[in-house]
Amino acid sequence: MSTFRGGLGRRSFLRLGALGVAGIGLADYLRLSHLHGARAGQPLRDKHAIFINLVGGPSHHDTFDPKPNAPVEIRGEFGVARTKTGTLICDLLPRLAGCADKYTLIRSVTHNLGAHSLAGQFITTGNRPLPSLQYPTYGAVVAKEKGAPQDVPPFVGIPDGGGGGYLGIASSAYGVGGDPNAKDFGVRSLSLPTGFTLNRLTRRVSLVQALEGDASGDRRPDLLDGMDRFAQQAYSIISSSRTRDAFDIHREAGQVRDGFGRHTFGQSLLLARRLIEAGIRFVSVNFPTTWDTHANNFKELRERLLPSLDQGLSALLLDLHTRGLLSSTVVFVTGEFGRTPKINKDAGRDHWPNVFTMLLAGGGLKAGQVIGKSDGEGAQPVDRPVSPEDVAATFFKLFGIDHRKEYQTPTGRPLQIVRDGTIIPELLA
Amino acid sequence: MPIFSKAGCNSGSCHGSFAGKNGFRLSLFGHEPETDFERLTREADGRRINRLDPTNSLLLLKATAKVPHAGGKRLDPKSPAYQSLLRWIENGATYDPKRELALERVEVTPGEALLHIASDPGYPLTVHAVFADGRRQDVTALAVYSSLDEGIAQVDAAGRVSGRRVGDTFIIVSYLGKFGRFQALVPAAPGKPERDTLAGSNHFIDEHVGAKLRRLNIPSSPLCDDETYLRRVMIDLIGVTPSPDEVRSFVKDPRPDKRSRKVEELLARPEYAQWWATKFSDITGNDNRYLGALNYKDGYNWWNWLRARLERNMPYDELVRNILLATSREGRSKEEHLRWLDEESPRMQDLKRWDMRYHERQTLDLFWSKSSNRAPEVVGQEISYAFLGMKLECAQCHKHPFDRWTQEDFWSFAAFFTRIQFNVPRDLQSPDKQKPRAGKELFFATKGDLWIPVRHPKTKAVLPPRTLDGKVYPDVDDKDPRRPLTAWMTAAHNPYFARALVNRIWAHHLGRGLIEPTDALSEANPPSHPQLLDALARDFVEHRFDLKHLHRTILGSRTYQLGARTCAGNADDNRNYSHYYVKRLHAEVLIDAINRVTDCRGEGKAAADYLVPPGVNSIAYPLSRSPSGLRYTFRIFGRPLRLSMCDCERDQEPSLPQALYLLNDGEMLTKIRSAKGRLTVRLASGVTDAELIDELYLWALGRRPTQREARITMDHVTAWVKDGGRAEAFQDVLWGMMNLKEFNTNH
Repeated sequence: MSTFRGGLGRRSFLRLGALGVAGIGLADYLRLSHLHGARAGQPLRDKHAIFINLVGGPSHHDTFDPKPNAPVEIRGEFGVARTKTGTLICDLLPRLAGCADKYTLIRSVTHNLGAHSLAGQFITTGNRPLPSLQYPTYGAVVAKEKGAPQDVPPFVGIPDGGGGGYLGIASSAYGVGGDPNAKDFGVRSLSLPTGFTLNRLTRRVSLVQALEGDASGDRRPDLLDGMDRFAQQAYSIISSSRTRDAFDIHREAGQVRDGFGRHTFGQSLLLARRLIEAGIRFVSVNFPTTWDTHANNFKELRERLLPSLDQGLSALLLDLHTRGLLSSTVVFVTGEFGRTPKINKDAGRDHWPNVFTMLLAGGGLKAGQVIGKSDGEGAQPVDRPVSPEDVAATFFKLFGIDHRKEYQTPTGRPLQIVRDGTIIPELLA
Repeated sequence: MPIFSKAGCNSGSCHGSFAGKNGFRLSLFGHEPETDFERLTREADGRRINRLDPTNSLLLLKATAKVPHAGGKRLDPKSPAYQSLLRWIENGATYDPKRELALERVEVTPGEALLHIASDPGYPLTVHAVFADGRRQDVTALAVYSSLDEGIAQVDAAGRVSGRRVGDTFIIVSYLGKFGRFQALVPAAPGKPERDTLAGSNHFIDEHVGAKLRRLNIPSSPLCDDETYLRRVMIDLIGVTPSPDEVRSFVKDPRPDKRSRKVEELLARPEYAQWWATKFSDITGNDNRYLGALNYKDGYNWWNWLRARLERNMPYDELVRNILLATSREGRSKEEHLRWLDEESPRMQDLKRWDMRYHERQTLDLFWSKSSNRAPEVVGQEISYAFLGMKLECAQCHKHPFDRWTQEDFWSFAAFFTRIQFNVPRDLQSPDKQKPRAGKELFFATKGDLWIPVRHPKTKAVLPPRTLDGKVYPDVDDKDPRRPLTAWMTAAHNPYFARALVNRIWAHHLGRGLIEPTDALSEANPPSHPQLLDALARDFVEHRFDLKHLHRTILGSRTYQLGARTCAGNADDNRNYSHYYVKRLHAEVLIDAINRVTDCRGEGKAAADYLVPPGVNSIAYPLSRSPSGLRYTFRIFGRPLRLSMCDCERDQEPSLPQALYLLNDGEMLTKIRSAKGRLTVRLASGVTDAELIDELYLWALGRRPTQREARITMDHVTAWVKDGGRAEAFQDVLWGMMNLKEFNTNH
């Protein structure tokens, strides 16, 4: 039997543990942030990740698992393209076909949750949802286990999302809020408000420091230490150019911005790349519009969804590759489920968790493969069924995180990071 | 079975997992011996047990890691556990469920002891299993031990306890699903505490808390001063920070009983009922996502129904009865009910009206009509969580690991609610069932209605409603079983109902529950002060579940009034209330405090929130999420979304987004600089710098600055007046105040 350990003290201590150094003054932070700044731009050896959530559930038939030999009411309107590695994917994803050596498709992912919210929790946490608790999302776990430099937030959500679940709000994502494609894009609480200088911020901070006095000798509750540490980190983040610059997407060359596509999704991925480069451990990106195509599936995909997915995702993979960042950055793309094989009366497809495709790239995994197989109608897995838990276990393995490691919920319940998952060896190089 | 538990074989991360481990599955914590016996003897071609060559049984080879075992070596061949398994196999490996005697309880002797730090080899416990026939067996070697706080006391596998640090904790002893406990008290050096602020008080809270502090030789901090008390009690009781006038008049008041008078005054303020309606909305799960098309109105109705009752101090048992026994008609005739709906309809439909009459209804049917509360097992979890303070849901799928509850207990409890239907009742269905006269409503299904009886998930037997004390209430057509359930729950001697509530209120005021977590009442999670919890619950029941009396009792104790500053010898204490535990302000209280200090609710879009009554303060915000999306500050400061049944959803931890918000968010600066805000108005009023500094301290911290603080602040103002002008210098000061930990906490 495992034990309860109650209370505020333990939790705050654990959560703060991941954030590293205590007892460093503001001056030290400034100095450290310069050091970190000098390192930016060099290849990252530590693993990082970008999680891309195609919210709403994309049709696997009309993206990465086409069924050209199925009858037309299943096959749909689109044709197929042969990728660089010889696989067939939808012909409206030509750029992704051209860089298929950079990613691996798992075509036999299966679960049985057909509602958006529950399935969404399943695929963003790697755990089947329970009514009694919320699991932490991938980023919360990775940030907790792996940390990040002091002057960057460890986990960022574009535009938001990425809950800390039972690990609490201290582990949840820092949401950027706005649309990275907008002219006036800036990140809440990070950019200095108009007419405000760093100098003035520093002078305010020194007033607070003077008033707080020197508490270094006192034994204080964890809560107060925690507040101090986060305040110091917040100041480090705002006063170092590293984070502000990384969020300032306007600094990116126009050509690069065009390459990712001048749409919210493309610019979100570009922002994600900038953040990873600056040392942020984990970035989650939500696709800006829904993939829930109950009606007009083909029109929606052709006009709204596939072009930005194709352009943005291929640009991200190639850009990471060119910069030498792909081998240290795991890219994980999935929706919460696939969609029905049979096209409905509204030319749409409905929810289908029985089989769908996930895409993984980078981080040293074995790319250019197709793992698993769905049947001729894309209705069931026929070879190597894989659960979201299995993918989660493998994903964590890429970071060297043992998915069987136990955490304790605030009520003392021991829980493995992933409850039931088996590593997919083919995915690991 | 105890051997497997002790060696960890049947834990959730091993063979106890529902999927088993590497093809071998045991029931979680060994609660299903018959199934386990089958699996041990029959599965894997019977290789697990070798009756002809017992030492070559796969079970023993694996457990001793003589053949490869992913779980490593769990048993030593020389250990009594191994010998006992071997003997069992040698004797034919039999199991007769009829011969198995019911285990009544586990006894640990002694029940408590004073331990000294690092006394080797440890204080020995003796554990007896007591069976139904009175037989006692010494199971010290077989029981499983764990310490609730290994920093204070550790226990080894043989049941020897050693003290590590001053304080107290429990050693939990489990054997075959039953629990016993030992309270380890680790005092500081022998003697009496140097400072004993609680001595001489005849308040029963102080007697209990003081007695334990004395046993542990931990000193208590001195009482807090008047300014601190006023701010503290206002924040805790009504969620509001004091104004300068309130501070001045309270400090000036010479009456010796002014603190208790203040409590009375606060209990009569409208914010008391507003704030606690918000808290009870959390606990009862008022999540407007699940309240249908007019959910923001119904979210408000739910909150306002609670508010109206708290305002007139309805006894808590009656309040809960009116939730548990809700129906839509409440005994009214169909015609009366329809008339009421017709009257209410325009008030509900009009976005601008907030004069709905829902709170005049007797019962809260929204609790049941909430679309996520329809399944009986979910309602069972919600009710046990909200009103009994326990996490029954573990027992939905397996025996509860920290309590005695079985799956049968859980599903029999759920059976109370299976006939509660939210549907169009028969008398409103038109003959062709096409066009009902009115919408769905909540009623008790009787003959002719449809409902699904609750079945045991494994045996599939239909389960009649059964309270947790084991009493069965046969399912009868015309009798709503919620009545006897409610009678059991709200009875004076119910072991959970009053305790759960007093523990939650205590935790809110004192910063830590006597039972912690506050919603985890279970056998394996005993209270830090068992007699105090009993006394509080008894007092609450004797005063007819009077909530205001309960607040009064706690807030009037000296324990509540101790200072937050630690003194030599009590800095490490975090469960004996030797000082007041500092708390981060609740999200709502903090946001209201910022608005109050700056006298600005924000400008433009940020200030507008449609679909709640205009101008409501955060403490009175009725909904779980606003229709225009989640409020940023609510989210980052940990206001619960009311989506899971856990008190832990309200998060009081610090975080990076909070720090960034306070340090640099545009909204903070907008409020500070607002043209109509406090600072701009006061700067134009002819007030001197010194007076203004004084005033800002009073608004933000509820006290005047010390000489040192006044000097530092004045120096800052003087230094920067030249640079950016007086306004900018004071913006810095006001911003600085709100970035102090003192502002962000209750202390």
